[in-house]
Amino acid sequence: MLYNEHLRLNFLPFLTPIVSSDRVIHYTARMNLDVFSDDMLMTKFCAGDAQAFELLYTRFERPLYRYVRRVLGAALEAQVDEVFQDTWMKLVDNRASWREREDASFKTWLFMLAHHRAVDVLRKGGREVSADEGWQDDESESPWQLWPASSADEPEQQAFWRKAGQQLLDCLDGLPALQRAAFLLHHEDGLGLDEMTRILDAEFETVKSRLRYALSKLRACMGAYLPPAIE
Amino acid sequence: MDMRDPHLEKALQHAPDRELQPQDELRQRVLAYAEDAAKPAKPAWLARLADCMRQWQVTPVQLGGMSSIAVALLVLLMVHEQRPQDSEWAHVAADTAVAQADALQKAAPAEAEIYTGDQNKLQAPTPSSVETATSPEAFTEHAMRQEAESEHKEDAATTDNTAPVAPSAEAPAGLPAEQMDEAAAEALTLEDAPATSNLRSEAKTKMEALAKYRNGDAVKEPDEAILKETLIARGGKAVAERDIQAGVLRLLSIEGPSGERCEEPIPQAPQIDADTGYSIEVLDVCVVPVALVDEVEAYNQTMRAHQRRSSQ
Repeated sequence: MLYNEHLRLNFLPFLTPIVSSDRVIHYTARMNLDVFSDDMLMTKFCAGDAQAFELLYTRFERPLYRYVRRVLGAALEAQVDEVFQDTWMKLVDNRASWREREDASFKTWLFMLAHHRAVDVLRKGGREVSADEGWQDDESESPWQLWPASSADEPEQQAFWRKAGQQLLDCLDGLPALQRAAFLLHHEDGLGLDEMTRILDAEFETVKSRLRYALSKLRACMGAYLPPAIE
Repeated sequence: MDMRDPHLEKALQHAPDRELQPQDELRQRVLAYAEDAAKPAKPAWLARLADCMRQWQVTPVQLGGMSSIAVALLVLLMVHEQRPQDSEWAHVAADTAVAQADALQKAAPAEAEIYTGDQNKLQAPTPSSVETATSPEAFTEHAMRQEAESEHKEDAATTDNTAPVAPSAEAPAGLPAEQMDEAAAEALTLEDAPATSNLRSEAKTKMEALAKYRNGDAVKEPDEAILKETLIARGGKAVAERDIQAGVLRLLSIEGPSGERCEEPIPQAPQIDADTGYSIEVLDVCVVPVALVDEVEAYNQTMRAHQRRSSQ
């Protein structure tokens, strides 16, 4: 789920009861941090609010973990935890530089750190990062063959999409890392091309071409799971 | 610009790794790391201390106990280093006595030495028998000397009986009365508190007498030490003539050391010269300078000559 990053100035403080040592109940006001945007939470964390970081982490824990897992692929699955942890720790260590960033959002910065760390692991693992890897079209199945019929019930459709999702993951493993990253950032995490240029550290046209290549290959790889062309 | 493929996007949303998440241990590690970073920075030495405590599994209570023991040991060591040893007390007393003796030496000529000449010169003609004082002046002096001797006997066992000397106005520089008084007082041990108070009262009396002497209200030296210095400085004859004019008629006698140590008091009985009838004042001198012997002899000769003239 993507959180709205627009700033909201109104908040809803609520009282938290605290029992002191002399059994007197005191009430303290605690801000509802859920209403804060990602950028504001990061700013609060920089000011020393650990709860703000915890909320940020909760928001991006699964999306970031999935991204790291998918970018590294099945071959480097054992290093997913390390890359994930290193990403957050590096963010904490460099929080002082957050205030200087005026052009990038928190999400962009977070995925940039994760991408760079993942690329480092890929390079150390001997995985080719930039070159386009060719893959062979699977000629065994006809395109759109597996697309469910429109009359299929919901469970059948859900089953289809789960299989399609698995197929897509297998196709992603066959993509070069940078094309894979471009596809995931754009489709999974909803990042625009401008933000992707910062994350991938590439020019705008370079990002577009990588994304175009990725889509082309994935469509070809997913052939049987894609809908039939409208005739 | 949007280049998303909706079908691929939907397939991605249904991918089997959708619910993928890190383990709790990893989550807690990250959150703890961030919480530590959010805390105010500790001083480097405190952070190192905390690490050491964690490493050695030392609790704050244990650390406080060890620190208290270390501080107590340090204090004991400092006190032990500063506390003077018992042998040093005697050394201090000896130094004080030496300083006082040096002060007396300074009043004497540089070539002062132990008199080895005619021992008769050291003493005035002794009467065949000790006669008690008959004149009022002699009686007063006798009473004062007895009172002083009684105080000396109380201090005889443990104190430095070299009384504080108040230097005369014309005498060579010696220790001032206040310093001598303090030096004498410091030479005493704590057990001599009563003697110390007697010594201070005696010194006070002498100071008053000295003040009178300096102001010219009294002719006679308030202290025999001043008398010795005056004899050497002015000469025995001049001092005798001054005493004669003031009506102080006396003879002087020098008594050398009679005991094993110079600071032991020399018992003195009141004496009257049989020939002149003058009282004999004894000057207690530990180390007899030659010059003092000559001046005392000159003083006595002047007094006897005066007596002969006045009796004619």
